[in-house]
Amino acid sequence: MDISQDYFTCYSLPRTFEIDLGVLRQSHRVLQQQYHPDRFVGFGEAQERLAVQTTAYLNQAFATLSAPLRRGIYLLQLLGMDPMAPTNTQMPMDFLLQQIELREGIEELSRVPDPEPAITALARELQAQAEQLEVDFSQSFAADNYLSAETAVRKLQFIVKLQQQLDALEGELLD
Amino acid sequence: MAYSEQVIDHYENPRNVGKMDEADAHVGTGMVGAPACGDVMRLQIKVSDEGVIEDAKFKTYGCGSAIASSSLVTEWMKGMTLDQAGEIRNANISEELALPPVKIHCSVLAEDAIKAAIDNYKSKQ
Repeated sequence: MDISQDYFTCYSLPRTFEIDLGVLRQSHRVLQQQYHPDRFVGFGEAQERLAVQTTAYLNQAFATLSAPLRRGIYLLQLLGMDPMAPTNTQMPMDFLLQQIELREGIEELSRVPDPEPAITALARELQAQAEQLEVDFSQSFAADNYLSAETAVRKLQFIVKLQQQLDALEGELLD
Repeated sequence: MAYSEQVIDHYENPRNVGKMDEADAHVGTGMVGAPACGDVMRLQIKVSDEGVIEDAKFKTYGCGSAIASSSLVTEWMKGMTLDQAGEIRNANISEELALPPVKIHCSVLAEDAIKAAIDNYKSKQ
């Protein structure tokens, strides 16, 4: 297998944001078995090394395509864009204001006597926002509007970070 | 990764955390965000009629380096003219805080926040 090919080609998937996750999982399983390093023991060092490299490539490919955020970033990277460039710090003002409010809300949670209902409500809100941004990305990308797609995926990155932060806090507070 | 003493000092004792009235014509507000790490920074300056920065406040949600970078620049900016503040570069910040290469983007965020605050102030005049 050519491990320099892009991940969509590797799984014979169209290069779109909407992909069939069932097909992805199925192709991944087949390829994973086919190139499992255990099957190449005794085939010589070069073959063994290749099997290990292929497995690493497949793991990376699957992790990238199965998560919407990473899939979106990857689609733009294939077009030569760099949506996560650390030097690009411009985000829509209303979005940043909302981000600060959400973070203030998360900070408040540690001071609330019974934070569980608030955590649940916030988790639901973040999930709704994430899903909306995935729709925005999908539509913009399908319409070749790559700049709006980039904005959507950059926003999604902030939301996913917040979700991780909230998960960590939930673990701390509700244990 | 180990933080430098300067970063830890600013992180544990951040200077000038707070908020100013955005509607005030003397106040310039800069907001920037870094998707790669999910950091959000708000930097505000209060400018006198003579064009000197009298006060600066920040609020940063992010890692220690991002907080230290914004805390440091609020200290630096007080007493500067807008032109002087506009000359602060991320290299000055990362050098002062001894930021490692993976954290240079935090100082870029602070530099961009300064520019955004100055632009916002000027747009109100």
